[in-house]
Amino acid sequence: MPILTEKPWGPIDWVINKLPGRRWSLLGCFGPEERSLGVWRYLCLNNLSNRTVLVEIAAKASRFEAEHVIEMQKRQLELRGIGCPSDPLRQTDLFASTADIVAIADEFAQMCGAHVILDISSFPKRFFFPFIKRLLANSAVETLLATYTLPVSYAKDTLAEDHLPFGHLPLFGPLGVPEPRVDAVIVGAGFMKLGLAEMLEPYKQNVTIKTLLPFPPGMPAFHRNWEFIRAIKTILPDGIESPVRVAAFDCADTFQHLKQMTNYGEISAILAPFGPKPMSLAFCLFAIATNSVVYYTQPTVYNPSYSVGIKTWGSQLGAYAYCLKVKGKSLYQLM
Amino acid sequence: MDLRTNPFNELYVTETVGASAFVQIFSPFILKNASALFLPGNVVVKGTQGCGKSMLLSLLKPEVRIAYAEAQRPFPVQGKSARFIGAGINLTRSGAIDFGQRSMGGADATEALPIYFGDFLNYWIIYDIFKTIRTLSSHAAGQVATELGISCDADMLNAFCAGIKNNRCWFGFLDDSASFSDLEGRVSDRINAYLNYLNFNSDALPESIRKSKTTVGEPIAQVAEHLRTSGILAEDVHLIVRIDQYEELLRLEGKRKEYGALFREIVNKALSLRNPHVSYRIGTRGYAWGNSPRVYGTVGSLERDRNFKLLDLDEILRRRENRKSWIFPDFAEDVFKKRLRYANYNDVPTSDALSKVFGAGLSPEQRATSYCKSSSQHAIKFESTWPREWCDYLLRLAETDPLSARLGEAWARQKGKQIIVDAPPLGDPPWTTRRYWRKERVEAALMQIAGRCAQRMIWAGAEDVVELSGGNILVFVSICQHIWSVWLRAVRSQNVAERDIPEIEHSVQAVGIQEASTHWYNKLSEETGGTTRQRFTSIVGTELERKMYNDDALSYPGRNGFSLSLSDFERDTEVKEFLNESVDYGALVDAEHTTKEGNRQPRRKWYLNSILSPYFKLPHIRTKEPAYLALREVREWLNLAQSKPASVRQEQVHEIAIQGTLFPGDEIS
Repeated sequence: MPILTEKPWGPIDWVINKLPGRRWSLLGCFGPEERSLGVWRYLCLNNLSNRTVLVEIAAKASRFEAEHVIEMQKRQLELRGIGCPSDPLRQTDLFASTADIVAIADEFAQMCGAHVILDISSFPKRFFFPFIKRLLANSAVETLLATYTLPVSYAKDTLAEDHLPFGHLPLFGPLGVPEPRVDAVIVGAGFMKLGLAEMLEPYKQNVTIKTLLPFPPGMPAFHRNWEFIRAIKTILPDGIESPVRVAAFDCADTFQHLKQMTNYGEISAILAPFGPKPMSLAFCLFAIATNSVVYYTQPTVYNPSYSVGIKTWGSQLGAYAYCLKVKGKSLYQLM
Repeated sequence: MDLRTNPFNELYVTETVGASAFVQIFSPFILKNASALFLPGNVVVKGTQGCGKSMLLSLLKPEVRIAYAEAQRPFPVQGKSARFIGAGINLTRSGAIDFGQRSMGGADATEALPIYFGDFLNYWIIYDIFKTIRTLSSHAAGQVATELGISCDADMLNAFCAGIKNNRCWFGFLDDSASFSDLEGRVSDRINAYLNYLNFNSDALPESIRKSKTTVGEPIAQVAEHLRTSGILAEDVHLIVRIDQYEELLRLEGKRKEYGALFREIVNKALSLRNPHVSYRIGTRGYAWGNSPRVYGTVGSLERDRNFKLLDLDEILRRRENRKSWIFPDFAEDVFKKRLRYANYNDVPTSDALSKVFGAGLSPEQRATSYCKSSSQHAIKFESTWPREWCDYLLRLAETDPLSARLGEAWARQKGKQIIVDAPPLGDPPWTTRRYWRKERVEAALMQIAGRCAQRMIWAGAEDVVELSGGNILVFVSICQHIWSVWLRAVRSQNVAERDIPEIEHSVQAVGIQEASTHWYNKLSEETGGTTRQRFTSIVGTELERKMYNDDALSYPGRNGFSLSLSDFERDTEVKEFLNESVDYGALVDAEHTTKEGNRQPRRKWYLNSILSPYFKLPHIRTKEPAYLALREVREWLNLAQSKPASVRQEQVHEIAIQGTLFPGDEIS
């Protein structure tokens, strides 16, 4: 399996042990989900931490406000129990400008040293996509891992709501004229199909629409994923290609599929990452490699119980780590 | 072809259906009401999603015009109106909406931001004008270019370049362009420099751009004029510029909210120029276009009919009290026939195709009988005080005419009419002879009979299909799609090889309409900001249904809608904006109405969009007075929909600001 060896990933403990002698700087999200502190706890317990910046993203007033406050108070207590990070909490809001988001990444990169973990578990895409782009491009960062902590379960209720019109993610917009021909739209199937119909409307007749389905996603997620696929089928004309199954946490495999779907970037594609975060991570890395536009319909409100608990494997943290850059070399390239 | 294909599978008719399909299924019916769109002068096209805006605006795109030429079909717009070329910008896809995501740098970064936005618009649109000219010249064997008198040989293009490059509007940016190709390259370089900067691929905006910011609209006007003088465009060919996604400027979040207003003012400024060679077209949802759109850098606003014409498609297609003046049924009929012909059905009638397929529907009496089946007694409820004779009368009547029996029950419950219980009528009962009393209550009575008999209400027949569409062609096609889909399921085991158009049973239609209604309800949450709107709709629909169902006396048969006084409506800006958006996104429909109250205060009323009526088991026909509500009640619904914590549950009523005095000590008495 050359692909896997080229792009190592696995349980966080396994990956970290394969990269010995390093102390890690962490850029993570301090949010209402329990898993937002999973990796920070892991680094503290194993005495692996260098510098740490946790970003607190203020939530918009919503029906979840009271619950959000309670969950944030719990996380504050947990944070005190684990130990406070080296650097103060970085406050921002969900609709921070691109400049503000880039500043967080760039300021972190200036002081983080050579070995960096970006914990994408609780970051919205509009943050972790540009973070990855900036950190990958920064020559001071020699080793870059992305980590993803698995929850015990997801909210049965809505995960996110009241989305904005579709738009591109920060730093993943159109790059100029003449506008590149769009041959394909590649959609990562997820739980929520907010605004998907509107997003696909201009493309559905003239370009190929391909879907990547996390499979097996485990119970009960497969219901929601298949519902997502069904919704796409009702939007699109007959003859849409069957979804391509990819393992939900296998970022490297998703990246490989994206390469194959686009004939190693020859086919110009627009990306729509609605799937689980490790899949979206692959979309992000592929977009960076190909300068593709990434469209998304950003929710304005997230359920504070988006996920519940932190998964464990025995006594180990149930988190995956993905090597994105090792010895200054990006592992996710087209060739 | 396989007749099991649903002719209505493709809901939207914009250029996205594929140019050749567009040519075949586009209905030009609406064009006679939209002639302003193709004539010189700025036009704002307003309407809810699916009203046909995009379909109309697609005709301005060169690709669609070419598709007509390639299909050897006449372009739907003819004569002087067809003498135009179209270009434009999509504010989202072009990246224009990203201005404000990064400081533009320099001392004037903040103040100049709207100017940079306007400059980007100028160059993008100019780039698109050049693209349009090339597209029209190089496709369909140059037929469209010939029709429009477009000539673009190299000499002419270079003459155009020489004529325009030193114009003052560019502030020297194009001075070095030696040829048209150079000039085009400079234009695209500038766009690319902007996008690279906004995507953080470059550290600074080139100085050459900083020093040559253009005024929105002016370079476009210059290009239009020089295209004529250099002979590339014929004298009488007009340039029409589309600005797509204008309303998204309203939805910018975070710090950029304020920029959205400025960017709209910049676009408005382009419209304020009233250049004879260029006309702008803006498609927008109804309330996204304000009453007096401000113009950037001035204290003035755009004036309707002076700076722009307003084409309100909802208004054109909306049903008035007099059905005869409603043009939508003919539009729907035309769309329906075109779809059937495109799907290769035989002998599609030239008129009344809808009636042939869907029939006339059920009469109210038939519906009532259908709800009751063999248990007609369930249609009526008795008061314990009513004499036996009266109850027997109603029971007998219910056996043959349950609707009449239900109306009789209501009659006996109304003030001043109870006397009838002591003397049941021998001949025609008064509720059948009092025409308007009956007419106003039939739908509410049917809804209650269905509920009492635990049956789903039935919607079927051509008239119901058209009425439930509420003047929206997308909803109409969607209803047809769902009915067809149910029909295809129903005949799956039958041989449907023949190509004759079907006559679809009412029961099949009823299921299809229910499915369509559920689809539109579910779709509410999928629209921008739609989750709260869907909850609000659900609260309103359930509340209106409950009250209407429990109105045994049928005293308030019009309460499938609600009304607020305009003064109340204006007081709570959040409620106002929410209701307006709900109308824009097709959850509600609204109209002003005359009050029944002595204070004569003007009021506005809202109903659920007709297509949601089956989902909420509410009659779609609007008669009599809606429920008169206080602002507090609507605010309470909104709070429930938002599930806001108590601290923000009060009305957000604007305080009347007390202005301070100019000089300390001067107190206002």
